[in-house]
Amino acid sequence: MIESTYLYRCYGLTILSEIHCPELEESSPGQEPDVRIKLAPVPESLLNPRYTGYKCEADDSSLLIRTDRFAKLLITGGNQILVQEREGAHDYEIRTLLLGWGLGALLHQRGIFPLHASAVGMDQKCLAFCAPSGAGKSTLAYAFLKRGYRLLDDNIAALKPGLKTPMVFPGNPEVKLWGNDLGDLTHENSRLRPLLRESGKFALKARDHFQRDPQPLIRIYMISRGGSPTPRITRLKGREAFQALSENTFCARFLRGMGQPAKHFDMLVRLADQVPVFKLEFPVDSLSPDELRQMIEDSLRRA
Amino acid sequence: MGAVALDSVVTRCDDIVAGVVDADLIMMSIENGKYYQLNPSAGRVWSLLEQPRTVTEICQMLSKDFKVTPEACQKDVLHFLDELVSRNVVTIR
Repeated sequence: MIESTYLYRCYGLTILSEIHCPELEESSPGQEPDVRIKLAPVPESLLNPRYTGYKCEADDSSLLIRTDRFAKLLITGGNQILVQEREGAHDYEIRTLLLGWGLGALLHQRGIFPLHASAVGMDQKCLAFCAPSGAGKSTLAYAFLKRGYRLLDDNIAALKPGLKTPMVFPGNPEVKLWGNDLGDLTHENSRLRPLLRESGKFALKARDHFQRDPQPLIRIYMISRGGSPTPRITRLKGREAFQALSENTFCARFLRGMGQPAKHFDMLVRLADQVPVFKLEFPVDSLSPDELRQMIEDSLRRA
Repeated sequence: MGAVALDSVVTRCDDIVAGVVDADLIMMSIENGKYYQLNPSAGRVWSLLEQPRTVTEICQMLSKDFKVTPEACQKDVLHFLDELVSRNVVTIR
């Protein structure tokens, strides 16, 4: 039985959810929901999948995500996510799956481009940082927040192509950090919650540092630890920029599964053409997050 | 399928999408998800193939753009089209 529902705002969408997601920003009441999240039985398999991939299956309208320990999700038509929890799964584990892969798939269905990046904004513009999982995009975003920038999201930069510049839509007001990054944390609002069992990662609430309006994306940085013996920032052009964005598309396999590779391709070409893409390389353990942040700010000033 | 000849009619394959980023022409096969990148002169050949054309026609049009004789560019064009055929980017008949 459903006791209550919750209304949230995330990636430019109003979401009506039967699952309580304290990490999301609440929406003002009375908004017509774009997306519904419901607790309901989800089949183990689609009837006629056109694609079967890692923990997922797809047909033209739906994507099924299935993990052994957490949940099954059925994402349909860009406006509905059905969730069936696995026995013994923790609420926060289910939400990590739902708000990561689940919303990622939904964004793909809606034609919003989920770049696997953290994004921070200042003065009506924003920057996005791509890095492999665990390589520091949240930590770098956090370094910018401490300098007065505002967080748009620490994992998915939800992009809608514009006429000239794509816009990033705000996601979750949270930064996910490793336990050892939290040493200097003094912020009063620093309520932490663990992310996945034994992952050593925590989520830090950043509501006071959250950017609630979409911002134009002016630069994308590819963070490459160990990429160069000396720290440097270089511009990627043409094929290189395209390739970098392609590799950093969040859950790109979902798009292939849903039979939309041409749409994805067009979006990549448009993005690579509209937003300058840079590669930030530095030797392993040579620069602190604050020094990286400084290097990026310096290069922005020179531009 | 034989090699590309001067009188071959070259047609783009339906499953190829293409776009330009910083003057690089990038193409993708919808079928297998693979990307291809073309240099600007190869990109010019691709844009000429907006409609099916013979190799002779393509070389005549290229010779106007690049200030070479049609004969001089035939070898390069044939070689390039062979490669596109082998990658299922264009077909010939």
